[in-house]
Amino acid sequence: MIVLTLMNSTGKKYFKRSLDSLLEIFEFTNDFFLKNNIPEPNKFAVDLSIEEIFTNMIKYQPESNDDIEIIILCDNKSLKIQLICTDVKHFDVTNIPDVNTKAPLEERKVGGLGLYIVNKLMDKIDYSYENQSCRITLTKILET
Amino acid sequence: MFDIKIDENKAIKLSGRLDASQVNKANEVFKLISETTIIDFQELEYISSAGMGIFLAVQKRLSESGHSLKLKNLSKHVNDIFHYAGFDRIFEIE
Repeated sequence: MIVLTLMNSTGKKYFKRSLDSLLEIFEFTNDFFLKNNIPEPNKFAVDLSIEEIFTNMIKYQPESNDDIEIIILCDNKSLKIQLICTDVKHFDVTNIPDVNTKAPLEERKVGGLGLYIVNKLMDKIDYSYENQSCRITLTKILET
Repeated sequence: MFDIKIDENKAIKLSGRLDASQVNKANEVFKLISETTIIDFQELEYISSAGMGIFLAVQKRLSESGHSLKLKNLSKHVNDIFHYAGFDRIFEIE
């Protein structure tokens, strides 16, 4: 199971390991933003970062059938978004690959951009693994 | 939701949200592109790396025959992530 959680306010929900969950995830973040009056300019970065981590969990940790938990914690200054997956092997999905964004078209490789962009959009990314569970924590200082 | 349409000038208009779950739908249209084509982002609210990967793959394919995608009307958010990805170096963006 993957779980998703969002002033001094918390939102938390579980999502099936499927790309079809993305719509529900974005509805969840939308509700959280509205209920907590979080400035809209932050939503694109939050949605994109959650999607990239969520899809990487599905792709690179397929051994689990558990849902993924997403938790959003909010205070006045920042958001912390945690994605937690259980019954998985250790795999640091935040291990950011090098992407040469200055390479000419013929040298550019398709793929690998997701985590690179998350690293640009979020102010901090943390990974931890314990008892066959991994937890990715994204921190974003809120833009007004 | 995501939608993709071809207008009377053969420009491709995107709308909604192009996330990973919509990639197959986008590919059904993009795989048919064989010449220089304008992509209008006016109504596209969101794109993730899955969608960006489609653009990169098509641009690489078209470049082999001297053609390209030309991107226009990107929102600020989309423009920012395209810049982070270096897409402003490999696409003509209006």
